[in-house]
Amino acid sequence: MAAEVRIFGIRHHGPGCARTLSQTLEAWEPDCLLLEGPPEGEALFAFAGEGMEPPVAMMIYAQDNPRQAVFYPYASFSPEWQAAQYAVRKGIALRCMDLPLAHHFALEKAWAEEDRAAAERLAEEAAEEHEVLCAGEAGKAGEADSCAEGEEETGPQQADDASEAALWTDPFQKLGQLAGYEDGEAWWSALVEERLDGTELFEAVAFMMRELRGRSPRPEGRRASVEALREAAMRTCLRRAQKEGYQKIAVVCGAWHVPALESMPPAKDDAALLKGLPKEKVEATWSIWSYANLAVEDGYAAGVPSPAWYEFLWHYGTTPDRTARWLHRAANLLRQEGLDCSPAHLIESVRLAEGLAGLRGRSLPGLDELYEGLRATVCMGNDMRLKLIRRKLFVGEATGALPPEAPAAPLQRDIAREGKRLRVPFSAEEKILVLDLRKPLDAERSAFLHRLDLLEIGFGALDEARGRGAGTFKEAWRICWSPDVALAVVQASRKGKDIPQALATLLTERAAEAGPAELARLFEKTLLVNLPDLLPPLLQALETRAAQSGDCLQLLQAIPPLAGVLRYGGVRQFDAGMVRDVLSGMVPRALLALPWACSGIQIELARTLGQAVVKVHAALRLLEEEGHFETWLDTLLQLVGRQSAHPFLRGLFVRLLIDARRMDAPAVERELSRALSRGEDAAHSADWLTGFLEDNTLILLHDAVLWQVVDSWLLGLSEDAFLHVMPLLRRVFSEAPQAERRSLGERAEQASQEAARQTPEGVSPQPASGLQEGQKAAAQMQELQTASGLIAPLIRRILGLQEVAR
Amino acid sequence: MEKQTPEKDFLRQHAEQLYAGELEALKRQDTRPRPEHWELSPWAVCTYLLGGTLEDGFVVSPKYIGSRRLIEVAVATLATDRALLLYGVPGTAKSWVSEHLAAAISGDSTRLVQGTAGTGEEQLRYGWNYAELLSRGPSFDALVPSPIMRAMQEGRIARVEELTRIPADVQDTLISILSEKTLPVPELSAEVQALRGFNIIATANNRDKGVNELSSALKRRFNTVVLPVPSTEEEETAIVSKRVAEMGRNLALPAEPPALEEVRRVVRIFRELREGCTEDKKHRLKTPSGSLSPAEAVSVLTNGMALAAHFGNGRVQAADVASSLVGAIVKDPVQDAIVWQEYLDRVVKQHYEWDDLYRACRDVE
Repeated sequence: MAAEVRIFGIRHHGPGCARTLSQTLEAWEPDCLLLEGPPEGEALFAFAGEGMEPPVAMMIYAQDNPRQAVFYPYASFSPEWQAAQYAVRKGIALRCMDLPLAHHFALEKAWAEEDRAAAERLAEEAAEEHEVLCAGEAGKAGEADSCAEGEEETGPQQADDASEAALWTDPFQKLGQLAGYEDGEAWWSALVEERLDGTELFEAVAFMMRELRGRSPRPEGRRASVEALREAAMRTCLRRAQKEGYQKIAVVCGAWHVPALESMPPAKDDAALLKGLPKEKVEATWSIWSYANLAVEDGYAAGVPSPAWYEFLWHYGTTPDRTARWLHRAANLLRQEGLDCSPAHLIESVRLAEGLAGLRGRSLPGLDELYEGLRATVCMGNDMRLKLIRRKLFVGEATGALPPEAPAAPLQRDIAREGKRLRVPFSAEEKILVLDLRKPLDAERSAFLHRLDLLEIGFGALDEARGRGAGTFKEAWRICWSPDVALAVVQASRKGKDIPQALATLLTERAAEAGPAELARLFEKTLLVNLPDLLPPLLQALETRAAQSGDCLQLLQAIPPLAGVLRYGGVRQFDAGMVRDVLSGMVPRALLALPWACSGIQIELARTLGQAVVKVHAALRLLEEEGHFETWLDTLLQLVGRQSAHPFLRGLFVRLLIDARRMDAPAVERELSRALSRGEDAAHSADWLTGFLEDNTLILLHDAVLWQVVDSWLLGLSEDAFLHVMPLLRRVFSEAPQAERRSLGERAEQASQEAARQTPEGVSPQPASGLQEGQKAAAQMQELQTASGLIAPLIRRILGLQEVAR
Repeated sequence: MEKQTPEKDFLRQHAEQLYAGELEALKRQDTRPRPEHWELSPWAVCTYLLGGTLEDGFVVSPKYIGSRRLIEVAVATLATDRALLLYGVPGTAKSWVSEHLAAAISGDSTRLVQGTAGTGEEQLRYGWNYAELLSRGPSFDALVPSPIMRAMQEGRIARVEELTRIPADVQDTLISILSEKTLPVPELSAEVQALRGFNIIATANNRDKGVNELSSALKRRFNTVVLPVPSTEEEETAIVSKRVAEMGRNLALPAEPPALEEVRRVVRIFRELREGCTEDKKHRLKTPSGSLSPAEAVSVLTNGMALAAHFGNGRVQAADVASSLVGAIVKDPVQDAIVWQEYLDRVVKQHYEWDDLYRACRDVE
C-alpha cells in the first residue's frame, strides 16, 4: 500500500498556520513528520520537550569557523515548533529534509573564492591596461588596486541578484498588493494568521502557490540554483521516508515549496543534482532566542512585525474576547507608564477597532485596527504615547530557556551555570547592572562579567559614564544578550571546557604574540577577573618581553598599567611584590632607551611618545616612594638640553619639570627664549611651544608660575623678536578651542589692567614723533605695557580671537 | 429669501451642492449596509473623500489627499456614534474634511456652529424667541434650536468649528450631549433625545494663540484624528494645485491656473521655511511665526491668479505671487522680516531659475 503524503505549506512563525497544523496533525495522526529544517539539527529535536521554552534557536555553524553560522529560531507560535512538539510527544519519526548546511557553507565558501578570483582577474586586467596607458611610469600598484575595488561593486554577485524575478524573492508581496493591502505581510496576516477557521487553509495555500509558481518564470543565478538543490534534497528525503514504509507522512515546509514537492520528478534527476556537492564540517546546538531578535526590524528576513501579537494570537486567537483582551494588555502597559486609560476608553477602542475592521471588510480587528483604535480613543490621535509601550506591546520581551541536558559546548554550559548562580540575566532587553564591589556577590558578578569581556564575548560593557560618579568600589555594566553573544561563546568554547581554562588558553595565545605594552594592558584586565593563577605566567611573559624589546614606546606604554596595579592592587587582594619587581626592571630600561627614542623622529611619532611620557610621568609620580620618579626627572632634565631630541618633546619635558618643581622660573624662561629665538628654525620653535603647552593651553590659566614665566618672557621681547615669534604663537594658540582662547584673552586683559593700576597715573606715553626710528619700537612696547586698552587687542590677535568673533 | 437663487451664483457652494453629482452616483451604486439616517454606507463615505472609480466607471474625485487610514478611522468613529475631533495645526484641511464628511453622511453640511471667544451656551443648545416667549409663555414654539439641537432631532451630523476657541465652560455643555445623547430643556420640563445618526464633528487646532485647552472630561468623549501636514513635496504640490484650480473656478477668475512649476515653487518655499531646513538638507533656516499651512499656499496662489487676471496678462507670474507670498510669510513685522530677508538672500537668490521671483520679492519691499 502506497504511503499517504500530506504537504502542509506554512509561513514560518505564523500562529494561524500553527493552530491549523496542530489540529490537523492531532486528527490525522501521521507516523512520520518531515520538517523544512537542516538535517544536522535533526537530533536536536529530541531535547525539544520538557524544560525547553521558546523562543529558542537551532544554531548551526562551521566547525572551523563558528562565525559562519545560521540560526533557525522557533517561537511557540511557529508551525514547525508545534509540529516538532507533536512528534516528540507522540514519539513518531521526525526528519529534517532541507539541504544539509554542510553543503551550504561549502558552496558559500566556494563562491566567495570565485568572487575573489574574479575580482583579482579584473584587477589584473585593470593593472595591465593601466600599464599600457602609462607605459613610461613605474607601475603603481596602489592605483591598480583602487581600480579593482571600483570594478568589484558590479561583480557577478550583484548582477545575479538584480536579474532575479521579484516574484521569486517575495511571492506574497505581489499578491498582497493585488488584493489591495499595503504589503504581502498585511495581506497574509489578515487572510491566514488572524482568521479563526482554517480547515481548508492548506489546500488554498497550495493552490495559490501552484498558480504563482506556474505563471512566473524561473529565475537564474546562484540563489535560484540553491533553491533547486534544496527542493531536490527535500524530495529525496520524502522518497526515503516512503521507501522506509511509513504510512502517513506529514510534510511541513514553506508554502512556496509545496508545488515542488507535489510533483515528483524521477529520483535519479535529483540524485544527479545532489551528487558531488562540496562539504564542510558543521556543528549544531540549541541557543536561547528572544522576541526582539525575531522581529522584522532586527534584520531577520523571515521575521514577523510583531512577535508579541502573534504569540497573543496563538494563545487567544480563537477566543471571542480577543480584541478586548489585547486592549487590556495595552491599557495595563499605559497605566504602568502613568498614563490614564480607563475601561471606558477600552470600550470605545474596541468599538472603533471593530468598526474599522468592518469598514475594511475584515471579520475581526487586526493589529492595525487595534493600533488605530487605541491611538484615536486613548492617545488623542498622537503616536507618542504608544511609542512608550511599543516595545513591550508589539515586540515583546520574552527570552527562551534551555533544559540543562540540551547539547551545548562545555563552556556554554559553564557560562549559563555561572550566570544562573550569580543571577546575571541573559535577556535581550538591555539592562543596567550596578555593582557594589564590597559585597561578595557583586564582586563575583563583576569578575564574571570581566571574564566574559576578556573572552571577547560581547555581552556586557562597562558603562564609564555611570560608573564614574559612583566611586572606585562601584561598577555599572550595560548587559544585553544577542545572537552575536551566542556565536562568540561558541567561538570561545574551543579554547577550553570552562571559563578559567578558556581564559588560560586565550592568555597564552595572546601573550605569545603581544608586545610589552599590550601585555601590560592584558595584565591589568586579567587582574579584574579574579583568577590569580592566570597572573604569574603573564608577568613572566611581560618581563621576558620587556628584556628583549628595545622599543622605548612599548616600554613606556607598559609602565602606567603596571604602576596602577601596584598603587591600587590592594583593592583586588593580590600580591603586588611580583609587579614591583617587573616594574623595577622595566623603568631603567625605558629610561635608557628614551634619549635614542627622542631623536630623529617625526612629529607624529613625537606626539605618540609624548602621550606615553605624560602618562608615565603621572604614574611614576603616584609611586614616588619607589624611587623611580627622581631618576625619571633627572633623565628628562638631561633631555631638555639635548638638541637632537625632538623639540616637541623638549618643550613637553620642560613643562613636566615645572610641574614637578624641578625647574625654577628663570631656568624655564631661559629655555623658552632659547627655543623661540631667531637662530632656531621656526618650525622647531612652534613644535617646542606646542609641546610646552601640551595641547592644553588652559594650563596657562591655572598655573600662575607658568603664566608668569610666559608673560615676562613675552614682555621682554624686542619688537623685532616679537614680530618673529608672533606667527608661531598664533599657530600654537589657534589650535586651542575658542572658549579657552577667550578665557586666556580675558586673563591677559585683567593682568594688564592690574599692571596699569600699579603704574603711577602721571606717567604718560612719550610722544613718538620726535624719536629715532630705532627707539620707536621700544617706546611702543612701553605703551603696550602700560596702556591696557592697547594690549588686549594685541593679545586677542595673538590668540586669534578677532577672526572668530567676526 | 423666498426667491430661489441658482446655486452656481453663490460665492461659495456647500460641499453637497458642489459634489451633488458624485454623491448621487455613489448613492445609486452603494449596496452596503448603511447606519440609520446615513445617506451612504461608511465604505462609500471613504470613497467619496478619498476618490476612486465606481463599478460603472464613474470617477469620484479625491477630496482629501493623504493617508487613507486616517479617513477610515474618522468614518469608523462616526459609525460607532462616538464624536470625532479633527486636530492639528491650522490649514491642514480639518474643516474641509469635516464639511465633506457631513455632506457625505447626512447630505447636509450646514448644521454648523462656528466657535469663537464669544460663543455662548445658547449657540450650542437653544435660545429663545423673546417676543413669542413674552406673549405666549414658554413653549417649544418659543424655542430657537441651535444647529446641534436640530441635528439631534433630525439624526444628522452637526459640526463645531474651532472648538478650542470656545470658552471652556461653554465647551463643557457638549459633555451631556455627547454622553447622554440628549439635551434637557428644563424650562419646559422636557428634553430632546437625539435620533440615531446624530453625531458631532469638531475641529480644533493646537497652534493658534488664545486657545482654550479641552477639559479631559470632554477629551474622553471624542475620538481624535490628527491631520498631519503633507509628508512629501509631491503630495503637498498635488493638494495645492488641485485646490487652486477649484477655487479659481469657484471665484470665476479669468486667469488660467498657475503652471505646476509656480505651485511647486510656492510649496517648496513654504515647506522649507516650515521645517527650518532646505529641501536638500544642506542649510538650516530660521522659521517664521506663522504656520505656513497648505491652505495658506492655496490662498497665495489664488491671490496671484486674481492679480494676474485683473492687472496682469492672465498668466500667473512671479510678480503676481510675490506680494501675497511675502504677506503670508511675514506675519510679525520685525522677526519674520529678518527670517524672510535671510531666506531670500540665502536660498531664493541662489536658485538660478528663481531669479524672477527674487526680483519680484525685492520689489515688494
